[in-house]
Amino acid sequence: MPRINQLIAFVDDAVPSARLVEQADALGIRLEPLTGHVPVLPVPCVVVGIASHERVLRGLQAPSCGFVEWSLSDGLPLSPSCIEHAALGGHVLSLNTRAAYDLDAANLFTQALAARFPHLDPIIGDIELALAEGVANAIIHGNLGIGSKMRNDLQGFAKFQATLSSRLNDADMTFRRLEISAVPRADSLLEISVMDQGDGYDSTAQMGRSAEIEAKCGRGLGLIRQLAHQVEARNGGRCLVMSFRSPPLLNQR
Amino acid sequence: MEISTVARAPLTYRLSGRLTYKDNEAFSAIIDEMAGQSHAQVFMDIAHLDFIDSFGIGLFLVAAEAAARSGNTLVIQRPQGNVSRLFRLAKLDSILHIEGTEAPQQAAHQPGTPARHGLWVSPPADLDDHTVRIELAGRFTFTDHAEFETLVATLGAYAHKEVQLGLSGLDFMDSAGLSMLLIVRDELERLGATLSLHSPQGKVDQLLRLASVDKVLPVIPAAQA
Repeated sequence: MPRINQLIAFVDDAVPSARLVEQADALGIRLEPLTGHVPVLPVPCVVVGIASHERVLRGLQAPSCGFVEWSLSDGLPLSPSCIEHAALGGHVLSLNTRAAYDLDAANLFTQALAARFPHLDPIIGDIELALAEGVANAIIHGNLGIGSKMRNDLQGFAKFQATLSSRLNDADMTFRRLEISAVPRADSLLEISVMDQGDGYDSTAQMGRSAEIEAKCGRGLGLIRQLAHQVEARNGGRCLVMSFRSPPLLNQR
Repeated sequence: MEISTVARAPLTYRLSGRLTYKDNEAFSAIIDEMAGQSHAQVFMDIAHLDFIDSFGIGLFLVAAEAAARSGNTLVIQRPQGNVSRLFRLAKLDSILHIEGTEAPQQAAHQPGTPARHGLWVSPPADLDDHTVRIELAGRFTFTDHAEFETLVATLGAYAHKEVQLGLSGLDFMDSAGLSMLLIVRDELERLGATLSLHSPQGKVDQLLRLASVDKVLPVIPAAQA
């Protein structure tokens, strides 16, 4: 991983651990304490800290371009893809599974995109629905490892809910990360990625499937394919990349 | 809650106190009276309404739809304090005519407190002997199982009835929410009852169309609802 040298991570209201400082040093990222508002700077910056609704909102609002959850229990929160996307001028959100579930990560991220890229307005509804489906899949099937066949009837649904509640309280699973990033690309494309740390899936088989009208599960990818210009699964199904064609001026900030 | 009629032209009500599930009867009387108006604006001044629960929100949505059916417009005036905040959380300002809303207050969440605007399910309103109406509002996603289970727990009372789900207050729904609606339909069919979806708006309407749900469930657009 090359040194970035142009990203500042503001640590929000917490003393960074030695491991976080070491990781940032190795990546060439400046760590700064955050007091009050995020300052306007000529280089991209993200907010790093304990996740709450207000703090995530602050990290997702200009001039910051993202929020990375960090607590003393976390090892190395600054993933290479996350800092690369932030340094490229994208928008990033990295949360543990529990926080992503509690804080409605897809909704917060969509609001941030709408504020930063107002010209996305004609397609922001498509983005919100596709992102919500991608995030739900990453949490349920990815990080929490729950299969998709449970929710076919009321009894199956009750079992699904019990499994979901149990796994949301399983420390090993809830500390798995969910990362969302949005990066403007060439040809007026906005590339939105959703990454999880689950076991992955057979993306070739799943991406080719079309959901039945009566289906009570497995609709998500089909909907995403209808909404996005292009969809691709990477890293064994752990990273879903959705491209949206938007009106021009994507690079405005 | 107390309701008083403060003007006849235009018809204006003043609501004060607490609007909860206990006020169904009093509110239904207003709805009936509004139906007697023709192509008019009907006002509800709620500046002195101190509290409203999800049932109360459902009543406002039912009242607004009833007004629209008879060609009237319901205008809700001056929500204050927690009532105003609840209206914002449920995003009612996008579907109801609201005037004189106070400026949003600074968020009162404590650090670390989750803030999720989930699903609101109104208690059932009997439209007639065979038809029950339930309103959904807010956001309906895979995380809203508690509200869904509450809804499912009531289904046994609707055997052989027509159940209408009003979706005009629903701001967002994902495919998991849609799946839960299909489970509701299956359970109602088992009871000899039927389910129809009414007045979906915006993103919810888009999802229903993308998923071709109208082929397996009656979806009644706002203009016909």
